[in-house]
Parts: sequence; structure tokens; C-alpha cells
Amino acid sequence: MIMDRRISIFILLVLILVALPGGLALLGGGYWFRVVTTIGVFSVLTMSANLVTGTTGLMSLGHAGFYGIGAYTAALLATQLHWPFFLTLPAAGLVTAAIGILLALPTMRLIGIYFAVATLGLGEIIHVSLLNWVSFTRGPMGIAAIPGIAIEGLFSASDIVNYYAVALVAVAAMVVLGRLTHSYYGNALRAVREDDQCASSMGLNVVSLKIQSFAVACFFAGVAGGLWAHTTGYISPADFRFSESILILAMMVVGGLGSLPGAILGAIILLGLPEVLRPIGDYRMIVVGAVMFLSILFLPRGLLGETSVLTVVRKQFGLAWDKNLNLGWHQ
Amino acid sequence: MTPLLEIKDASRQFGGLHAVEGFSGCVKRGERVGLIGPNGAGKTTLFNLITCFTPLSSGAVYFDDADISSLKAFQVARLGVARTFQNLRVMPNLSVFDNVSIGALGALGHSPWAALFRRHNYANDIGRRTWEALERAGLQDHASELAANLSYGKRKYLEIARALALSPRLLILDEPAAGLNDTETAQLGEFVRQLSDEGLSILLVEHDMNFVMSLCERIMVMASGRKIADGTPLEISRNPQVLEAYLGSDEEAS
Repeated sequence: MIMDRRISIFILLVLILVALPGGLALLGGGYWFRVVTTIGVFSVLTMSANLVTGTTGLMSLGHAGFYGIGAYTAALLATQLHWPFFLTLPAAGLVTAAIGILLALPTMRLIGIYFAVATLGLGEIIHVSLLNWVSFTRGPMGIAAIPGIAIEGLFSASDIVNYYAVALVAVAAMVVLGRLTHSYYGNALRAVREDDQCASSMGLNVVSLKIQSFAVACFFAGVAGGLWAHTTGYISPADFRFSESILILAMMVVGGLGSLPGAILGAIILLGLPEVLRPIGDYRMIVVGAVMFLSILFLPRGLLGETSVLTVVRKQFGLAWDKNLNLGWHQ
Repeated sequence: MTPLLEIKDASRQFGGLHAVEGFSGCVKRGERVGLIGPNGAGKTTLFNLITCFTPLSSGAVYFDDADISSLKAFQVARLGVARTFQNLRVMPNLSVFDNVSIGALGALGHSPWAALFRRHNYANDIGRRTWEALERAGLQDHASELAANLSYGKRKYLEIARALALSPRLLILDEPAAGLNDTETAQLGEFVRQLSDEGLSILLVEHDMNFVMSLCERIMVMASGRKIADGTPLEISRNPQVLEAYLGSDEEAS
């Protein structure tokens, strides 16, 4: 019964995604395609960050850095080694996941705010490396002329192809992340979020769960970066700053922590709203800020969240110390 | 036959404080053992040492003849040592069922591949185990409720159900009767006795003396990190050292 509903929603979503380009073409094409593919890329980013922050409860503030690693991996492989997109995208994901695990290993024993600050640092290190390692990344000049998504003889790069590629990856990410979270494995991750010490006393390997969820999130952040590189044709370190990490976090919070449809909804609202509100000029950013502010005030669980933002934030900033005190001092 | 749990000369220091000092003791197979002592005696620290929540400063802990002193908490749990907590630690945002499934996940393992490829057998095993534990603790009617909405008494049972889903051989209860009224305490005692009759070994800390005396076959007494007595409830209630630890000696009083 529930299964049937889930499948019918999924089919409806796919139909909408297939039909959407027709509507975009009616609106005037080009620019709207760009907006929608950006929303798609950020949906993948937000859904993946949600696995770590919403489900596993580790507040990651460095997601844009891993997004950047994926983008540069794909861009360099495509421009230097002339790999086609269907190889660069998985490669971007795998390289990002590998680097993510290496960088995150020392931080996996950190809890709460310490983890948040450590990932913030990681994101900055990645951004600064992209900016200053000029011989490898071309630094602030960025990488231009990245080949688009095309296979010779089958289809060439175009707005519609970009759109379908992003939509396909977004649906794949949703299926994979959905299966991971809507399962007993997801319960294990949620247990880490709710009370990691209790989870370990119930036989859960908390460290490996944290690493696994981080690796999966990094993989999809890398793939999203690859999509960004191939669909825009030009990337520079400015695309992968701390503000992007915060934007991803905001999308997660507005949509609802721990919810996949919420992550997509958050991306649509926070990227779509500024575009829809363009007629009112720069005032539109005030409206976007107000939407975020009001959603925290009146919808602390976000639109579709399973846990209140305040609960997670309190865990990050308040209980960390109390929790340590519980280690054997109470009688 | 060797005891199920054997603690040999266990010590733990926090800075200059000797929370547990040279504690030796055991829990035999199928036995119900109580651990009592005044506040600050080191009982919860000892529990944390047994479950490898806190590492030992010196000494060793054996479970089923295997040295578990250097294991991690989750490995000890998988071997069959399940615990509940003094300050209840249910996961409020999860349903009762999902809370209990954590114990089943601990016992059967958690692999992302099983979730990714929808291995139904694995999911069914976890579901069945979770449901059995819920039924044993009498929580089957509350399965879909959020744990946050359960009454205090029911949360106690939820913690025990979660521990049972691990299929433990030793159940460690930290003040199970705290905060319960007399009727609830009696019901809980009956429940623990029933678990014990089904073959589970029990070690519990409790301040309610009637509860401990009527339920436990043997009692260990701790004061200032040391074991000061070990015997049947009758022996313990007549032990002058125990009285002294609880009430203070004559010299101190005068």
C-alpha cells in the first residue's frame, strides 16, 4: 500500500521531469534551462549533505569544497585527458569520495561543534588550494572550454541534453540516498544522530557509519561538481566558497533536515525565488532572507523534516559538554 | 563452569580520583546479581568499565572466558552484553519500533549494501527480532508511536526492549526502578525475574533496597570504589561493614 504510493509519486515525478523542458522552452528557453539545471545540481548537493547532516547528525560546513573537488576532477580529466563525460562523472564522484574519506578520517572522532568547525576548515583548505595551486588548477583564472555533455554521432551538447543529464543524476541520487535512509541502515544512521554513545552500546559501529555516510555524501557532491563543470563549460574557485556550503545548509534547513523531497524543495525555493523575484531588483535577497528566517521561526522542522533544526543545533553547541560528563561521573 | 562475567582487579582513575579501585567480582550464568552502594561509590563507572564505555586504568574484564578489556563498546555489545542507562537514553525522534530496531541492527550488523539492494531476508530478520523484543516487553501496541510520547514508565521498558533485541546473554540495568511508583516497581521486578527465568543473566544497580533484596540472588556492595561485601541478601543485610558504609560508623557519629 505504502509501496504503491511511493512508486506512483516516483512515476509522477519522472513524468514531470520529462515534460518540463517543453514548459521551459515556452518560457523562452536558454536562461530558464540554466536556472533549472542549477536547481538540479544543488538538489543533488543538498540531498547528499542531508545524509550527513540531516540523517547522521554531523553538521558539515565544507560541502562546497567537496563539490569543488568533483568539478575540478571532471574538468581536468575532460580538458587534459579528453575523457568523455560518462567517465569523468563517476571518476569525479570516486575521487571526491576518496579524498573526502582521507580528509575526514581524523575528524570522525569529533562530535558536535568540533566536527562542524573541522569541516569548515576542510572546505576552506580545499577552496584555498584550488585558488593557489595555479600550475594544476589554473588558480583564479579557472578552467574554461570544458567540453559539454555530448557523444559524437548520438547527441551534441545543448540545453536539453544538459537538463536531462542533471535530471537523470538527480533521480539516481534520490533513489540511492532514499534506499539508504528509508531502511534499517537509515535507522542506524539516525541512531548516531540521536545518541551516538547509546548507539555504540547497542552494537552499532558508529565510526564506520559516520565514514560511510560521509563517503556517500562526498561521492554525490563530486558527481554534482562534475555536472556543474560539464554543463557550464567554465569553473573557477569562486564557485566553491564557504557561502555555497552555507547555501546548501540553508536549503536543507528550509526543506527539512533528514528529508529528501525537502532537500529538493529547499533548492527550488532558495534558487527559484531570487529568479522569480527579479522584477523587484536587489530587494529580492531580503525576501529570500526573510523566508529563511521565518521558516526557522515557524517551521523549526523545515517544510518536511523529521527532526527539528533546533534539536540538532542544540546538540552541536550545547550538549556536547554535558554528554562528555555523562561518561562515568554520574552515580 | 566459569562465570559468564568475571571482573579481575579492575581500576579506573579520573585524574587523582580513584572511581573504581581493585574491584573483583563475577556474574554466574543465569544469576541475578545486584550492585549497591552509597552515592559516589563507583557503581556506574564500574558498569561503564564492563561495557567498555570507559577504558580500564588497570585490571581486566572477561566475558564468557574472553578478555574484553581492550574491545570497543559496540564489540562488547555484539558479544552479548546489553545495557540500559541511568538517565534514560531513548531516541525521542524515532518511533518505538525504530528505537528497538537499533538493538537488532547491532546484533545482525548494518551494511549499506543490504539497504541499497533491498535484501528482504535481512530486513525481515531485523523486523522479526525487533517485533519479538517489543512483544517480550509488552510494547507491541505502542510500536508506531514516537518514543518522545511514551510515559516515563514505558520508556524504561523501551530501553529494556532495545537491549533485548540484541539477544544478550548478560543484561546490565542501571537503576531500573528509579522514578517508578511501588506498583510499577513490582511489575518491573516481575518482568526482570521472568527474563532471568528464560536464561538471561542480570546485573543491576539499584537504590530501592526492597527491590534488590527480593529480586537478586546475590548482592555486591561498593563503597569509595572498592567492593566491601559480596553475599546473599540475608548476609548483606547483617553485614556490619555495609551498615557502616550506608549509615557511618559510631566513631564518626560521635
